[in-house]
Amino acid sequence: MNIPPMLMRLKIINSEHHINLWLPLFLVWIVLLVIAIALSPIICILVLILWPLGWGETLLLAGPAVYRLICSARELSIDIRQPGEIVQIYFK
Amino acid sequence: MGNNQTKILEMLAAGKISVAEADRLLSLTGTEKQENKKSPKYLRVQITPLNEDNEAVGGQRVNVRVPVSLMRAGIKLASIIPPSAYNDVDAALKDKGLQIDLRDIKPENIEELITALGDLEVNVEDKNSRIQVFTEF
Repeated sequence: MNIPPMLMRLKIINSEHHINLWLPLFLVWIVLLVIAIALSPIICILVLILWPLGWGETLLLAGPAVYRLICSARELSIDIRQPGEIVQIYFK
Repeated sequence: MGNNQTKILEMLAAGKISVAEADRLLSLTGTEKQENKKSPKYLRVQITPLNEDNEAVGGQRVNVRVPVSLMRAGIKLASIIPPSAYNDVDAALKDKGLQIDLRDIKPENIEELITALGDLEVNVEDKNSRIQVFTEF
């Protein structure tokens, strides 16, 4: 089962910033889910309007495709270090 | 050499099958081997600074781990682009010097592409740094 990343670690350390955060992404997904449900009637109308132009199908499939993309970002890790500077982004 | 390949060669030596049949069967065992290959889980990119003795030292260090499933999802996302938009995308890619036709990348070819990535290993080394691109299972 595809589960989106629940936490994001953001660590930026340099001479100006000292950021070390674990961001609870699951809270963002809840808010986005509510927004998506609220907007679904408008999206359905847009799909019907844009269908003859060829963009309707794209709009319809974009939601699940973006969801798959977000789920796939689990375990993505970026770690860049140089003397006096660290940038770390990690999705868990 | 696998058991099946040995058996085929033994049958060829015993004259039970022809050279053409042996060739066909051997190519099938190759395909079987390809199908049994595990697909990689992560694509890793590492940049390690080196000193004059080619030993890792402090300096700018990059360590990126990209889940292969992210690439798979990205290719699938590209496949939903409507045909009318492909020309614009292709033109933009050509402007950047990339001669890639997105229509050639089909979701059914993704698995083959990803399995082939399992053999990928790039090592570039100069006097200042070592760049490694490889896959992890």
